[in-house]
Amino acid sequence: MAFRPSLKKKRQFEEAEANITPVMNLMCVLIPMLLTTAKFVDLALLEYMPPVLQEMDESTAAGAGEGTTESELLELRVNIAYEMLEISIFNAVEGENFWQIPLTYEGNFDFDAFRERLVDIKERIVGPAISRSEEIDPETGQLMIVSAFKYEDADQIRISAEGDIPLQTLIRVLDSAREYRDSNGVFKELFQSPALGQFQ
Amino acid sequence: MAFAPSKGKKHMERGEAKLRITSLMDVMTIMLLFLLKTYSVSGALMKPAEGVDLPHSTVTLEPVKVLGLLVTTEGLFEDVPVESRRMIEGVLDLNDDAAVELDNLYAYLSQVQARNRELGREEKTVLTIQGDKTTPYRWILKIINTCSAAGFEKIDFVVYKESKYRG
Repeated sequence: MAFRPSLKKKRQFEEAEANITPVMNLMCVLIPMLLTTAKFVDLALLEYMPPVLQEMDESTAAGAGEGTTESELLELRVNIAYEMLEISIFNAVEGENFWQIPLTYEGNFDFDAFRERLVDIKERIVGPAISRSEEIDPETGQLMIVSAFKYEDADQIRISAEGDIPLQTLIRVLDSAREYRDSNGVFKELFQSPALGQFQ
Repeated sequence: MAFAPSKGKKHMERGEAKLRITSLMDVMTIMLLFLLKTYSVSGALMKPAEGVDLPHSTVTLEPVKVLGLLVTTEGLFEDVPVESRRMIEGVLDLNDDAAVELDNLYAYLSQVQARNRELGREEKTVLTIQGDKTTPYRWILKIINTCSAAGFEKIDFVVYKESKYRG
């Protein structure tokens, strides 16, 4: 026996709507507030520590002459000339110790070639770390690993430029000399302590 | 001649007009999420100074507000709002190849340090420079030499951050 369709089914349901007006009010307040405080340019700081000139007094000079052994210095220098980048190593290296990196065809400095040359110097001439020791950073108080290399100034690079070289070029040179990305995509340190000086 | 009212319209029910704000809500929600993501909770934010086109770099260190100098194409200034900005060194002094250091800048920095001592504050050793990307190297070197002579151990250049993964 078939049942008669229910009469209740004919009742029309009204479409339920959420009242989103209070949410809209909240958004109208939040969005202008966040827009005014948003930072659309991302700034950063490039740290530079000018090297401290150490004057040797009589006692330290006498001490240096007696028991201590003189460690080797690399003395890596970079000159930013108008037409090229010049890299030179003044001490403790046999063979080639001067390289010139000319401008590209477009007339820009070739920072990729410059970085490749520095990587070559770091790997071939400076070599891997001889020893590693743990020290506490006096500023942050955190434990850090300090590597010692064959050369005492293995992380230093002296940079000088001709008078009218713009700041942007100097920053690019500092960026290129600071770190590099190896074939595995890992960033490795190059020469982390730059010292700016007069063009020679 | 007046027309007779339409018979079709006669029985048409007039519903209440409603504003559809669902799409507006969608846009607002996306905007809100984007702004919340970029919202910075750090204290004093540094803004690029007016009249200076900063260089770009791959460094990632977050800027902090300390004593600042401003290097534009017109000279060296205090890093303060443009209306109260005072020139410390002019182009002539900055271009003078005979001078290694800048006298006015040294006097200004010494004055700042003396004021800190008077007020019992710690002497500053960090300084930030907002330099235009076209600033010549001879200006930079003189400013650094002078700051170093005035007892500043660390000089930070403010730059626009860019990805180091490019290229």
